[in-house]
Amino acid sequence: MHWIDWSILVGFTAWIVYDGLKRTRDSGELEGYFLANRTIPWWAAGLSVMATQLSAITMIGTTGQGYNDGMRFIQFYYALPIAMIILSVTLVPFFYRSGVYTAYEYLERRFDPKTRSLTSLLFLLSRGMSVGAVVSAPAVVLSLVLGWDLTATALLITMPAVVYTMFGGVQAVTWTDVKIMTLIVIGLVAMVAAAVFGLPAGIGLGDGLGIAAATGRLRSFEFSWDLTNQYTFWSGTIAALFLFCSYFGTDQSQVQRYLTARSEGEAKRSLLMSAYWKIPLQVLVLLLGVMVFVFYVFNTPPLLFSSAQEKKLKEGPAASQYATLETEFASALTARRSAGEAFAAARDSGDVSRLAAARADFVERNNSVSAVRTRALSLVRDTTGDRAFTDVNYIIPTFILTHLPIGLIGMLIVAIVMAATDTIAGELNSLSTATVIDFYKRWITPVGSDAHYLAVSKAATGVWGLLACGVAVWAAELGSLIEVVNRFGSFFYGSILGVFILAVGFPRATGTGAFVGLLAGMGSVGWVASMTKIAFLWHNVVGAVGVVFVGLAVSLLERAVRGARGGSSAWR
Amino acid sequence: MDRPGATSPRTPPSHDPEAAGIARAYRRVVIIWLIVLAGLWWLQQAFI
Repeated sequence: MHWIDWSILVGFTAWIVYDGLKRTRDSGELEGYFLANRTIPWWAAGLSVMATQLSAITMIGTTGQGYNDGMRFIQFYYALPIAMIILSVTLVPFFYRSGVYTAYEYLERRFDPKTRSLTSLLFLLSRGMSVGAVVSAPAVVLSLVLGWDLTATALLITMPAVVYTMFGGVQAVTWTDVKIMTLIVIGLVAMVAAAVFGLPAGIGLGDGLGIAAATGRLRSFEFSWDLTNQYTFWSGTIAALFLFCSYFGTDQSQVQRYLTARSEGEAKRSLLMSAYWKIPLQVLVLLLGVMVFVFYVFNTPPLLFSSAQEKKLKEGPAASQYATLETEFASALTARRSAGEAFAAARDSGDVSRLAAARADFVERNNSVSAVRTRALSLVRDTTGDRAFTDVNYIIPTFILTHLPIGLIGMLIVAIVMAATDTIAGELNSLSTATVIDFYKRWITPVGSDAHYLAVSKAATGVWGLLACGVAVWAAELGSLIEVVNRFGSFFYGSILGVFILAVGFPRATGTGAFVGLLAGMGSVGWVASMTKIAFLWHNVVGAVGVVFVGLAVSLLERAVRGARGGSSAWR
Repeated sequence: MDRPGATSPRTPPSHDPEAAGIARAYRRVVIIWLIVLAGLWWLQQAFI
């Protein structure tokens, strides 16, 4: 990178840390440290909710998905606005009025300590491991693309978050989220504009979208009832509704963001901000990938976007095979570019039959390019033994580094790094809160001064931060393990939502019912995941429904047993 | 006619400016959601 890009990266990171540390004076007691004394305006809490969810994986992985698959992934978010309304009406008032620090604390008030501790423990396990994944994915990509040391990259991403979260608490997390979210949106718009302005003369935005549509990249609706298909309209509106209700309503990393709002109404408004903006933002993310695809129709892309893998192939025993593929790729690209120009000319002519023929020709030429790329990816998989290899995460970083001007490169690299940093900060803050409030204060030291709990909270943030660094640094070795743990984490979401549905929707549900239901829900998800090929989004429905049915059945049984013994039939 | 004590002691939602504002926000969310979905449907169809 040029020294100007380095200056932007170092300067912005230093400013974020300095600004976060300034918040230390507002975090002198536990409520200030964890809930900002409930003084955050709704728009800042709303931006923080969005920033915590938008990680570097979105910036490099989802945009790459847009390049390969187009807009299909947008269906995943269709239920989000409705989930936000449901949560605003149901869970938010319960959380806000009960004055809790964590979502799980509410479960003890409604049910019992064991249900609270189990759900909080599940959160700590799944979120604790995901912090490592949030760091490792961009760290691996940036270290390879920019030629940086992996450890140094992981530390660059993690350490600013650890420092400002540890000392500044939720105040620092929220206000840095606001700045970083602004930077990310500006960066995304700049990249889309760069891709559109990079098209040759005579090829307009309409032609570009026509080319994208011809290859199916503008498809946003797939009305298939195939339960094994991850992204359909139905999985996005029904199954994802359960996921979003669980993520935004029961995951402490999100709940804590809106508990900092000034009032219950402002907490609701902060959630509704995502309801308004999340789908348009995600459209922008995917559209960036689509427009970069169109850009590379008229500009020469590399055969493999991972330059490190390309170098290994060129220097290894498969060098001659790769050279042959490169020759085929160059001629396929030339033919595709000509077909793209002919397609644009046919659109301008208004001749329907000519346009249909040009479209068919372009699709055929594009398939030839894709076929050569598929063979190149297979060659990497065969030579490295990495059967899951894909270069999807390298597409946007390659576009940034090879086609954008100095200065913009620095701004976009810092946007990717900071997208990871702010997600980690939110997660560290919530992990520390759950550790201290749900375990340390609940079970180990119930009575203590605010200063004591504050010191323990800062130490907990530091320890979780070190763990995140450790997992990220050893990411290469732990790669498959992290994936397993993350998949394991996805078992919990629907089941935890089921417990909260029992809590607020069924006044007669008991603590034992909720606890046994939670175990049964996770078991049923585990069974469905291992015995069927049903897409993971539907696991959330299975978990939630399983918990509610089993939880209610056990609650009824408990009432019957109590009645038979002549004991109290009072329901908790 | 309401019986004594039949009404809630709380301010009815329609007279609570914040609750009324939130209710309007819910309606706006649904309307914008439908407009965004329609826009995506148009994007899918318009360039075929």
